[in-house]
Amino acid sequence: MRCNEVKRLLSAYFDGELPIDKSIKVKEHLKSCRSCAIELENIEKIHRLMGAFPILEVGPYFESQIIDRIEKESKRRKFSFGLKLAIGFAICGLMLFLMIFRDLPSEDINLKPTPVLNTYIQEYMETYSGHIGRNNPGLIVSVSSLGESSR
Amino acid sequence: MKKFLIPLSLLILLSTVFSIFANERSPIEILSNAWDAEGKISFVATETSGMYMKGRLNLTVSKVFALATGKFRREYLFPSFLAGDLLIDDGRNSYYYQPTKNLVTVGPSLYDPPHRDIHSKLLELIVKNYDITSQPDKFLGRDVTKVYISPKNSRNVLLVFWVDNQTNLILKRERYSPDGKLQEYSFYTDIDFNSVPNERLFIWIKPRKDFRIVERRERFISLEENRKRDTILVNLSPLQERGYECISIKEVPGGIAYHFSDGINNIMFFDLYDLPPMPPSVRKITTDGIRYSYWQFDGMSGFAWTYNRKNFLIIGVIERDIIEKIIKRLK
Repeated sequence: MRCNEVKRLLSAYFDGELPIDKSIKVKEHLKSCRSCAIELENIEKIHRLMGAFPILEVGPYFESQIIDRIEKESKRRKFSFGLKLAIGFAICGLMLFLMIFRDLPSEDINLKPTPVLNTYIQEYMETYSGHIGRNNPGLIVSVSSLGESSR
Repeated sequence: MKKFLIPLSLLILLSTVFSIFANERSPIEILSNAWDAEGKISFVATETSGMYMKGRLNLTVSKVFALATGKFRREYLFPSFLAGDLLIDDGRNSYYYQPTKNLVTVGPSLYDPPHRDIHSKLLELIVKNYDITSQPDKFLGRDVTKVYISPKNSRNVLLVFWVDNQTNLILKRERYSPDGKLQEYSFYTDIDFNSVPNERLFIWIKPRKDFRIVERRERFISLEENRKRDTILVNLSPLQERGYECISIKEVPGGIAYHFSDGINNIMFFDLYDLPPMPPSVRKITTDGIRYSYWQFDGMSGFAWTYNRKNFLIIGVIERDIIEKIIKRLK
């Protein structure tokens, strides 16, 4: 047997899990191969160290506690993602708003703009020509230069 | 036989005279019938309207189509900047297309109940405040009655209507200033009462996507509803003494508008949240401790003042002394 093949089988050899024919062949190789013998010694050392640790028993609710923690962690991650998304949208919205309105005067952003005098003159003009210009908005348009001067 | 002939002839003569007198209508009746005929006659015509403003005559020529069901269409032909503009009044809404501006203005129909109501109130006030006389005349080769409206006990004519004897339609209108200058007029030519316009002409077709649609909705406030908030503005004695009455109250951008009329002259009284900027020609005058803004052009005056955190604006053909009485009355 070659070293590579023996090193792959060493852990199973140590645990006594190899078939008898393979186990004999590994034993023969270890007698003549110092490198593989050292590898087996290392495996024996690790097993000895592991045997020194106390055996820990899990509590009766260990599994459910683990599931709870996984769910909580998953929710926290979801919330955190939603929050990040909302903040992202808010920043994008703010940037868009600033891009659109940065050149406008502040009065245009006012939600309740004060109407100009022309609005009221037009209201009057519609009553003024009540007997003549009924249903004739073009006549009001043609005299609206009057209102332009009063803006 | 002869003894029956004389009484029979007398009977025929009497019945003829009676029928002539029975058919002769009073000027008020003629005007009232003309008022009532509006929106109830089908015709196609060309209408020319003119209005003098700032010493300049503003003229429009348009092709008009009217249906007896209260539908109306106007296609502007002149001036060039209005040519192509179109107004459709389908009896519920009016749509004013301005293709050069890619704009459609949607507003109330002239034939809806609130506007008909205002129109009939104007007639009531004309009858109450003015003298109405009439005389037979001819216009467009048709028999008409020319109706004159003048202030009581005055010879100055302010309004003249040419009313068609057959249909009661007003074929021509003229409005004069108190000093006798022509201010406005409109008249039909090429009028055809026989061809009924196609219904399709009065259907509002939604324009292309790039058209901007502006809604000009009017919300009228009834006098009962207004009584809950303010009765002083409706009953302004300085205006009532002159025959003016508040004929409509409606919401306008930034406040409420009270429309006062004496039948011919109109005044708009605005109660506003904020006063708009005044024109550069404004003068500041103080009366009874209140400072008001005053401007005037082409006979139309504007007055604006603030008192007790309320803002008032009045626009109309009105003397300053009446406004000063109103300012004192509202203190």
